[in-house]
Amino acid sequence: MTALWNTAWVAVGAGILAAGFGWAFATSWMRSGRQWRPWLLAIAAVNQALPPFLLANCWLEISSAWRLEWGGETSAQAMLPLTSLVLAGMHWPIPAILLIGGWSRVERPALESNPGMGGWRLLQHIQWPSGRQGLGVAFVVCVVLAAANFSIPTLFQVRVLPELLWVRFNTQLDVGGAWVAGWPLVVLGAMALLWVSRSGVRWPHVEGGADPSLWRRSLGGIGWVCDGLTLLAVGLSIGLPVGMLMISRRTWTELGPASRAGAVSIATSVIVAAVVAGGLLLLALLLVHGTRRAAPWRWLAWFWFLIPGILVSTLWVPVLGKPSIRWLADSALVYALVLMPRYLAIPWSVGLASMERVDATTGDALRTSGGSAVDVWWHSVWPQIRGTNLMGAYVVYLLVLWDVESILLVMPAGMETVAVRVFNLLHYGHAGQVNALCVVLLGIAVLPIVLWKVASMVRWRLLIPGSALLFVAGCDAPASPRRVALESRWFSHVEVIGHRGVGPGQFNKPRSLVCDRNDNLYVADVTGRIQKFDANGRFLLQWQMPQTDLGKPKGMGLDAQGNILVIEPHYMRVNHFDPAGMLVAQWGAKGTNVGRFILPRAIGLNSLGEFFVSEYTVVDRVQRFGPITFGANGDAVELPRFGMAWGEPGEPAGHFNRAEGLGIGPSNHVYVADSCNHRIQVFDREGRFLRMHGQAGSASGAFSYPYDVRVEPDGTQFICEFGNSRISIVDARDQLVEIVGGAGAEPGRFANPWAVALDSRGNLYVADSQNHRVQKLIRRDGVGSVPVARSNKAG
Amino acid sequence: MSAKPRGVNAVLLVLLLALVLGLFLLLFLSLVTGRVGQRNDSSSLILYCAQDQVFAERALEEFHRRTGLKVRAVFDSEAVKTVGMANRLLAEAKDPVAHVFWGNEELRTRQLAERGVFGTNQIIAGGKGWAAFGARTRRLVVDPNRVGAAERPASLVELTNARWKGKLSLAVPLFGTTSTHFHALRARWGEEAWRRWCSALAENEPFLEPGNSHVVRRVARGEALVGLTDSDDIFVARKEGSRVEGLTLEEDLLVVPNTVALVRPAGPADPARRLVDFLMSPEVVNLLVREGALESANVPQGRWLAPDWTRVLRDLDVTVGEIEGIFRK
Repeated sequence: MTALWNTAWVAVGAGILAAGFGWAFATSWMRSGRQWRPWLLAIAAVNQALPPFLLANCWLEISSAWRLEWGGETSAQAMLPLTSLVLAGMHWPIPAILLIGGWSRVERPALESNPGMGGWRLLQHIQWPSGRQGLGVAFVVCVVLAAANFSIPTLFQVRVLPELLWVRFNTQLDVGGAWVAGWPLVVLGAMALLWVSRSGVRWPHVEGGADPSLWRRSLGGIGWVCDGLTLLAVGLSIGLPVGMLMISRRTWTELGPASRAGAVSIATSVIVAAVVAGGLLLLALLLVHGTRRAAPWRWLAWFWFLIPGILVSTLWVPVLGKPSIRWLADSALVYALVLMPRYLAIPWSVGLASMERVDATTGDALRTSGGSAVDVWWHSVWPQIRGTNLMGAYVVYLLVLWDVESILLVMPAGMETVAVRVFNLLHYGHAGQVNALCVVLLGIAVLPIVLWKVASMVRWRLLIPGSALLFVAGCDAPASPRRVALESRWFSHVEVIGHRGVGPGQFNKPRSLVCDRNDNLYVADVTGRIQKFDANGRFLLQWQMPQTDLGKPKGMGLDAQGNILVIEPHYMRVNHFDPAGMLVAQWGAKGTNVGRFILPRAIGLNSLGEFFVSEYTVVDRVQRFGPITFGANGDAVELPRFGMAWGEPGEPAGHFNRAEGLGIGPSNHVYVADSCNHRIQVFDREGRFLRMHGQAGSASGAFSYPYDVRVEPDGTQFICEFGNSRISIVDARDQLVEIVGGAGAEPGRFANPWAVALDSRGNLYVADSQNHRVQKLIRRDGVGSVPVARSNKAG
Repeated sequence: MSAKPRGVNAVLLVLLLALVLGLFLLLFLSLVTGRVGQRNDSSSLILYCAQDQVFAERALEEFHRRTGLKVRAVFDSEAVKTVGMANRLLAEAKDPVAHVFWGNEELRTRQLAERGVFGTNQIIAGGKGWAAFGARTRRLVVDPNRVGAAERPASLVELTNARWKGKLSLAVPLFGTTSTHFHALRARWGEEAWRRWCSALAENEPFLEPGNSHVVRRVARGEALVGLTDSDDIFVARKEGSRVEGLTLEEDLLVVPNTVALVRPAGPADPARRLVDFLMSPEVVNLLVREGALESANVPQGRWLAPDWTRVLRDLDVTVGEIEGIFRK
């Protein structure tokens, strides 16, 4: 009973402390500038990479000094809080990460909408509601992990249940008895799993969310308090143990001898950790691609991770003791056999989460241009999921490096790992060697990061001489840093606006744009922002769409009053913003019936003030709505009424397969970019089919996923081809006149452009999505019709 | 547009192959380094070793250097000293993995011999399948700066004095030499006296440590005033600069030899015998004495607790149960 009580006390205490430290750290993260966040992430990673024995030894010394110098309480009960503190020091990054996951989804308007939203009110009305789900999951996980730990409480003289299991198994070799005695831990693990499965996990967003400066202003003094707590947590869990390790002379004098004596262990640790982590990465990718939906038995993998390692290893002893598979028990494959099921859940879940965010359109384009399935996976899918999955594999690498309990009973003879060596030496009292091996373990832990950095630097250093060579050779430098001459009959120059990033004037996969009556440019990207630039490309302002959880805005236009139209496909609605970014009207509702929306993609306005909206997935159609009417005070007094609808999924004329874009041409004709049918269809305002042109391909006059089309008053069409990464210019007779661009990153070339817009001078803006920029093609004087119609509105 | 790439089987195949290749890499590494099939590999031996890893490795390196035979050792955690290893040997009795067992106390070795783990092997002709060599002793340990000469306990019975309440340290009596000592005391003192002593000891709220080295460290830090431990742990602590001193126990003194046993059947020319002979050689014993793992090469002269092993082994399970009941309430 004592052991059970101690286990509960220690575990819950550790969970509460870890939650507190994690809250403070997450708050510090949210208010830190983006240049500081990688450092904070590194601190959290170092915390996870530190040997638990290092932490325990450090605090044993400190607690002894506390007792001796200040006559502190020596009873085991008095050691309970210290044990909880040490365990919390090991696990606080878990709640920190999950809280960041919740808070990174808080958008700017939530912080700005109420001027009084600051300090404690912010905590009460913003932080707590958005973070409590993640905090709850993290608390439960920390409690389970702390309850399963036996080495730390044992060192602090606190009797806990895992220790009893260990003793029982080793004295009686009774597997069943150990599991029976360990039922509370098994039940705890199962309950935690049930909780997590119902709550779900929201992984952090690195980009998006409110600006750190906004968090700083809103938090006020509380932010500084949290920074102090963060420093405390980092100091207690990292600074003190590492500091004591580094300043001990014996650590360094023993480093050489301990490394030589443990050379085999070091090699074993590196190989086992790398192979298990790499193998699980591959296995997880296999499972993710084979079964995209979350399989129920993935939760079994999590259960296997959450129960104590001691119980896991007891099950392997009788299995591996069978003579028929003794050859396996004697080999290093034992590590794979025991550790891969133990840690499978982590890369599997990480892999699933990463696949949810994959944009399949680039892959589709690759396939269309003849790429194999391997090409699609390697060039489209893998680059999008690589970072997340490698991080998951690195976490497994660290966990395998530290694992003792799962392998101690089944370790092959002569193949101990460094962690087991440290564990054994610790109990023998060889403190100097223990510290030295902890330094070695730290080195092994950061080895993958070091190798990654070295590899990156090698690639970077090769680029420098190359760039210098180009400069010396006198290649054509642009007249100004951002304006480059273009070889085109229609356009003289191209200007590049922006680059990749999440700051003002930077883009992350821009997908829609429009020009207003003053030739200001508005751009929507996947961060959910709308950014405004003047006619010279200078950033003016930005605003954040209020809701982006379900999806980001895509599809823009102008209404008759000059307001900016922004479609939210996943929220099935159209928004009207004034040029200052104030929402003045919103309409649309979800539904397949006419007059409602299912994933609207594009909008156009004709000379009668009527709106045309294209949709796809469940329905593939175009709908016409009447004008919107605003009152004298600027409020919408009459929302657009449904007029008519046409189209259905398919290939025949008048059918659509993803009408991704549309433009309004002369005579109010509606030009539809029928992207997956690789053509442009033209209709009158009543939806009567007039003509179409284009077929799949990359030859002149063929199209590959035309995502957008703009039409000038003379019927000239500017077709944005996502698949061919180019702009096809077609005259009023649907004859090709010029192709501009092609795949590439130089100015004048594109990477999967998504939308186009025309200003009053005929300049063409291109949302160059995968290059994360906008390109402005400067119109040559006298080419095409003058004056040029505004983008997406018939002249 | 489909959500799942066409021809995905090609991708799955590539991933599956890569996974299989990774697993075979591990197996390959094992083969290259001679770590598979090592049971029947005459160039390597498997040793289950309860001796301190640091000292044992030095001896094994020397053996390898001289003979070319590689020794793959499995070391025990002091937290479950020897008991865990003994249980492993029992579990593998029908199909042993280890060639040699190197124990650092006598009880578990005798227990394994009684259960036939060592088969019909004979270390010495006409003898048994195991042998004892070297000696260390059970000691009390004190910090002389905190415990004056007049205060020091002279026997184990004095550890139950109220003076030592909350200031006494000993390893969990279920494992290692502490376990052996308790079993031997029970056989010597009788059940009643021993049970009273254990109960009084438990009421003195001792620190129950994971191992004997922890006992010495607790005393060195001043958290405990007296501890019950092994002479080699005191030696190591003094070598590392701790101001502790070992006290002899006279009648309660338990001598703890190292033991070595042949686990698998071994003929006269078997490499395992070479290892056994090497471990028992004066060279290795002197090394262990120099490093403090052993106190002397031979059993010390004088009065000391000579266990009635027959009785100890007979009452083994009962004693374990009683210890658990008293100290693990």
